[in-house]
Amino acid sequence: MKTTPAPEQLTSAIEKEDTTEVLRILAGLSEEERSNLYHSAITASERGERYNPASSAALLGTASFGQIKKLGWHATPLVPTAFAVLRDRKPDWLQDYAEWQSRSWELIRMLIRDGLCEKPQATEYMHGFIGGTRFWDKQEKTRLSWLLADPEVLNDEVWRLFETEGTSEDNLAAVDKYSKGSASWEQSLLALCQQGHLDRQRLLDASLSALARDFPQFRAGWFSRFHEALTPTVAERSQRVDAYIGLLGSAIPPTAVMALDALIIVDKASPMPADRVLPNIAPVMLAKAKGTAKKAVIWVQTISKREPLCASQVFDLMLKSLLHEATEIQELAMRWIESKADSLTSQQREELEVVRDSISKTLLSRVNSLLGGTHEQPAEKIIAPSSSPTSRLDPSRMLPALKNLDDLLVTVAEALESPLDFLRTESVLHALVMVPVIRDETFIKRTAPLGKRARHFSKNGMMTASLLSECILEWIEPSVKTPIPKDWCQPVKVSGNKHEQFGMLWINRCRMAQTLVRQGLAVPPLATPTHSGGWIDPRELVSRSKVWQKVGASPLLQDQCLALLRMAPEGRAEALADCGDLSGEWGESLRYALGHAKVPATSNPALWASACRSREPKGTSAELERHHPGFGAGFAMPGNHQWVLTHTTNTTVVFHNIVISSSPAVSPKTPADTLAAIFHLPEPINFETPPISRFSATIWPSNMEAFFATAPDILFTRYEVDHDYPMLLEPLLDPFVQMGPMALLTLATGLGCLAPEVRSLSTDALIASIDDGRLVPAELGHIMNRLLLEGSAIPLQRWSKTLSDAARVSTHHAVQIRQVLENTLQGEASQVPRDLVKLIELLHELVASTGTSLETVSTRQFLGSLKTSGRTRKLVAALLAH
Amino acid sequence: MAVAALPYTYRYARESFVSKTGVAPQIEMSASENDGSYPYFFQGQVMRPWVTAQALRILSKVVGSRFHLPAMMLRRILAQADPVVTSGGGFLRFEGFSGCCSTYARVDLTPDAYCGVVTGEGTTNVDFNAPFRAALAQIRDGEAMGLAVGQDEVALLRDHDQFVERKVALPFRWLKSFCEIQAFQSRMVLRFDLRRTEALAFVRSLPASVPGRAVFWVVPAGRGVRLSQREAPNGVRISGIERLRLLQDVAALCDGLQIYADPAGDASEWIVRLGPLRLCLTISAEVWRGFSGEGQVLQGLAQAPDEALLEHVRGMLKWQSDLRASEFAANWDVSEAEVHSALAVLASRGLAGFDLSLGAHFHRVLPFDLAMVETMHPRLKQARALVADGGVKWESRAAAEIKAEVRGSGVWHQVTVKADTCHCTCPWHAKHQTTRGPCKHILAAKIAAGQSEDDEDHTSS
Repeated sequence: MKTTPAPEQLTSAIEKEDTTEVLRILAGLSEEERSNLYHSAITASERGERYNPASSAALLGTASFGQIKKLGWHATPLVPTAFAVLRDRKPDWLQDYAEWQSRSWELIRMLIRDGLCEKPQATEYMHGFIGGTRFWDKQEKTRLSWLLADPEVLNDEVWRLFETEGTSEDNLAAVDKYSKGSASWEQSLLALCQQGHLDRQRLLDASLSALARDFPQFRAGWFSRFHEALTPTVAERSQRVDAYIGLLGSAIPPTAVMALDALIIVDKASPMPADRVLPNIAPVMLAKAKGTAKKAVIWVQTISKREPLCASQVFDLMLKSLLHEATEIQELAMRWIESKADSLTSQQREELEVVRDSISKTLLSRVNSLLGGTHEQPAEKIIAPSSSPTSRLDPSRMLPALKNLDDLLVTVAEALESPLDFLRTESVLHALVMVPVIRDETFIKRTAPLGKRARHFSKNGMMTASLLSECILEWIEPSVKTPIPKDWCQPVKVSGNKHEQFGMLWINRCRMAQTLVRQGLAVPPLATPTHSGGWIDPRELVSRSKVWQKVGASPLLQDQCLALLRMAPEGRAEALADCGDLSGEWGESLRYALGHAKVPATSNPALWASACRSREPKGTSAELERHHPGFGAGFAMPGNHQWVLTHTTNTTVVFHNIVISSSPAVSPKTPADTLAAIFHLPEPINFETPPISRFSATIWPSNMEAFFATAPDILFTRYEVDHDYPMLLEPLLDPFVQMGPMALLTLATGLGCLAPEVRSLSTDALIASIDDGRLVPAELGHIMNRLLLEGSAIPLQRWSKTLSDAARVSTHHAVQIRQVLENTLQGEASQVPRDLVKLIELLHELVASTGTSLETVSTRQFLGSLKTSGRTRKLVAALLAH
Repeated sequence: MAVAALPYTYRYARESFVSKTGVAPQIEMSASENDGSYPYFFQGQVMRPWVTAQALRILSKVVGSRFHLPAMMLRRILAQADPVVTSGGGFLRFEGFSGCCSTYARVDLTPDAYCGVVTGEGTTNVDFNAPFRAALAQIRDGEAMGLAVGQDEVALLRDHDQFVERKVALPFRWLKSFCEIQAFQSRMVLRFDLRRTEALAFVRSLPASVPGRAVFWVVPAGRGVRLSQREAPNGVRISGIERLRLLQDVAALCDGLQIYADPAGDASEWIVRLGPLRLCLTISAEVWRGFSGEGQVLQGLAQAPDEALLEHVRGMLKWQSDLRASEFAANWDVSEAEVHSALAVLASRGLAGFDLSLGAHFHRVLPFDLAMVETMHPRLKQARALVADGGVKWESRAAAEIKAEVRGSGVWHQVTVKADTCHCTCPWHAKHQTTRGPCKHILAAKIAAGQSEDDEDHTSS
């Protein structure tokens, strides 16, 4: 008889990581003896720093079930060891353990085979069967060989596969996605079927039953693929017609398609009665996928030829098809209805009348001729455009001025929570400098909550919140003197990374406000925008300048340069008339920017460059260029942007890029703080860090082309959905942003971008630019034409969808979009993409809906030269016939 | 952190199923035991079987979904919540929330949607097991379709060996959402009324994959609507757009789609008209913002209501499907506004839902013990604690405006409450203003104001 082992023996075996010795020590012990050894096992295992198989075996062999559950993987040795421990121990809680560990299929299966426990009821047991065997093939055994080695599972577990939905990881489709050949479930089951281990008829039925279980699409896909992989004969399909008919209504499109295909096969071999098919086929006729709906419509029409008495039922189905979004389906249905024109009842005509407004405009004349009489289109809903501002300085565009403590406290608190609204944050910084306060007890009491929050953000916040917080703390308690770096006012260099330079500009603006608060001078930051878009009213700028002059202080050069770039064109004459008494170089440069004819002085080139860019954003100053030659774009002259589409190929993938360049090149010697020149640096803005990118959109509002020049390549090539790319397009919504070539290229790429929210915003921008008359359709069309012909690889389905959304807004929009399309469809037809039919379809629809014909000769030539067939040929012919 | 939950047991006489053994197929819905008996609400036939089945499937999808997904919690939560059915005023209403409580679905069967006998009135849970859901998918029009909600005694006896019992822990937020949602619905306004074609075009245009944070507005486009990224004055804001894709299964069958929006927030309700049925899908501002945490009923719960009036109104609730404050008020010596307010308070306690199509509350008594739910509003609890601990100091009190200082963490917040606005200096208010209900400081000030009014009334009387 075995004596009770000493605890030290077990401890020693664990420390030596000797699993065999642990098993030997524990062999044949009673539950009480095991319990007595638990303390030694857990103490020894806690001393180890890494996984110790001997420790796991000891814990599994000594702990109670409750302790094992708490220990988790610490008490879970490898399968053979666990099996050995449990087979020896045979605890009375083994069935509960099997339920708890039911996903450990291999272990549980060994216990079941040994008669140590029953099959667990938990669904995880089947999940373990499906997914837990994922790595069998890596152990040099295929799934097939494992299944053959355990034939009992072929009677039960294998059939339960067809009743198990699985989890996101442990489902048949997911496992087979990464298992090929005999390692996959599909091939294993097929092989077992061929070898006679599994009943073929039962597999056919089981796979159809699984499809009726409403599993999610990805998981259901495995069962439909498996069913078809069994290659059922026509006779086998005929026996299962009821099941296929039931699946026609499946919410999973591929399942419905499989059922439809199967029924069509059966019908071809042996025609099915109409009353079996027609009451059940509506779901597939309404399917979103055009191909499925088309197949169903054609089949129904075939049945109607065979059984003319069912015409009334077929008419109802065709009426439903007239509401399908694809014109092609509507056309098919229309053709059938036309073929029955003579026998249409008055009720059917009434029903047709009801759907008349809903069908494609290209079919309207055919419906009208069928119904007879004239038809008045329901009046188009007029969507009153929001009253468009007439000026950049329209009162509706004015940013709220924070002139008293109450307003300021509310807005500061809100800005602190979302500081990325840069215009609001700049207004807050401005107000912190300017709003007079008496720091008495009431002020201290009222600002205490804000101070607490600001202290939190100054330590823990992102850069924008942290900078704002420090300024707020300076304002609340100037005596505390929040540290400001001595060299805070770094010049903004015209070199390197644009993003870093604009970031520096923002940091300096916050520090400047903090410094002004500390000095208590109440002199306004010059460049704080007064109106949305980042504009400053020139009269306000003059007024701010006078405050500085009165105090006898001088604004920061960066502040001056930014203020000049942000100055609105409106109100300049009045501002010029009012600024005669401003002295110094700032006064001179401001007057020059406002239109004064004096030849610019040259002592501070960055200031004069900004004045020059403000005065004539797209003009050249010969004087400035003479005094400071060769600095390039953004200094004395504007930059011109050019773009080319490039294609690079590695072994398998073609990468498309839009490369934008600016000329003349920016000189590395361009003086610091020449903000306009930074936009023309070759390195793109890092738009993956949105805060500063949003700020950069407000720096030079009179020349947004420079801002947009960075956008197209990003929208074209990158589509990570977690980045704030819509921000690139937001300025396009502003009625005062010109639709120049870079804006249009941004728009065109946005309309075809992968990200739906970018496409949606691009559509908004397109509609807005049509609303306010900024869009020249031909110009957008030419850019889209270049992208199309030069092989941009933008899926034309996306353009078709976004353009069609814009065209739906009103007839005016439809006309404009039609013109865009006509200008897109021009040039050498030999290079067109295969999905061009999407654009041709839309053009056909728009020509019909606007009641016009093609206006552009070159579009006709383009369409005429296309080598087409099938539906495209019909559409082209219809367009050219107009 | 443990999820606050109510231990609850569903007891079904058997599982729900679709029977195909009789002359016509029959939807046999099993209703959970309520107050010791098994409810038996309806026996008859539905007029639009396919549509009814599809609408019920969508409800079941909502209840079985979680749009905002802390993965570890998913399976447990999804296994817990069965939809609630209310039989009253000739209506059969099936309703439930998604696991994240950001989406609510209700299927209303009006009296025109069925022919049969309403055998009982009340509210209970109904079983929606997986095979039952799958069977619903195969139902079509063109054949008679029976529907039973609950079972008569004969059937109960017959099925006595099939009883199903599931013990679950219903998260409080799931229960709280039932109380919150009607507060949103009761103030929503109709923004768009689309015909079938426009509804179908819109629903089918919904993008397949959108980041959860993306915000869209539904704006007019021609005769229909489209998605926009631009805020429009009468647009409907939506986020978590995948929730709307649930409508794709019924869009092709609908007669129209009505879109309601909450002018005071960002929730919206989408009512699909399916002949005599209605499918209502209500979505919260964001997927991660369940209705439970929106604080819309805090005001009502915090107010000291006129208990006599509340009891009076409660006594008049008889499973009506269309509760009209005007009719109640006409019979009593109270104003319509007072009855309306009493109804809102009762609704916030789970005693009524709101039907936007009718523009009225309907009576239902949720089959859960909601006494604990009221205590589980953390903001309300904290506000009451502040009042009890002397955390509210008055600065000024006038009829038009009260100003108070309310204790925060280390600071005193300034609270201003006017007739139509309120403000607090706390960060929560700075972030959300009142879109998610009042902050605890405003709530405390209001509770304290109400209490002192009561004290004054008591003294003067």
